[in-house]
Amino acid sequence: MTTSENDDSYDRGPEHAMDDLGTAARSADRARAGSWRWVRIYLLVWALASIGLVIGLGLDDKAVTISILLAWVILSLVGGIWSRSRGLTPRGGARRIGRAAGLWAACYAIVLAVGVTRQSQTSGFWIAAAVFTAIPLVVAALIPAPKAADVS
Amino acid sequence: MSPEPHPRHGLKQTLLSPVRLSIVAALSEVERADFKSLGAIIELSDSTLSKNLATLEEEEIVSIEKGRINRKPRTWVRLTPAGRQAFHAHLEALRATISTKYSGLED
Repeated sequence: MTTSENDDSYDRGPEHAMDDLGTAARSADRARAGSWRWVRIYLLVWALASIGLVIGLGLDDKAVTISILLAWVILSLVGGIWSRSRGLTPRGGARRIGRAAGLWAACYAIVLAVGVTRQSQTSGFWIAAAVFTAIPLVVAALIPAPKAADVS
Repeated sequence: MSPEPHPRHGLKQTLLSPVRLSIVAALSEVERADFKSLGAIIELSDSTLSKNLATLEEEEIVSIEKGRINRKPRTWVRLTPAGRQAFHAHLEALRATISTKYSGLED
């Protein structure tokens, strides 16, 4: 349905049109910021957890390593439930999380392959490796949210 | 040659309401939004949001589905493809209305 000559309610001049565009832009900006906020938090917490996990793998103490692995599993479950319960799903959010997860898995596999096969790794290696695995997640969290439409 | 129609003819009647325009603009940025989050973003009471969503659903601009997350009932709202198209056309018409003003000033 569009406006017609007989539509008495129509009174949109240029000033009204500017107001309407401003209204739309404000709503769109708030929705975009709100919907991406939890994605950023999710990815940054994941990055921190990944640092803890990889450092935990490099420790000599088996009990501490097992505790960290257990904490990782619990945090993954809680993170999954928490992300599903968010009220706003950003456009492209799942794709970004999926790509970050894929890159994280690749980095993690490289770290494991190098770290476990070479028994003489130093603690410096594990700290550097931990930061390395966090990079894709931090980058994904910090990339600006894309605009779905040019509402301005 | 007949003159070009005024841009206002491209405006969507339903979206002339600032409340409904705000709802649709917010939904344009998300895959889906639950009722409470949408109301919080646009700062609308439940009754006003519900009434306007009913109008938008009737026009097939939004779709509404009910579900459960962690055993709690949730109402999800999303923009339909037709709604997204209508929203973009409405924005274009608004921009054209503004540019009509400035091109008129130049004459």
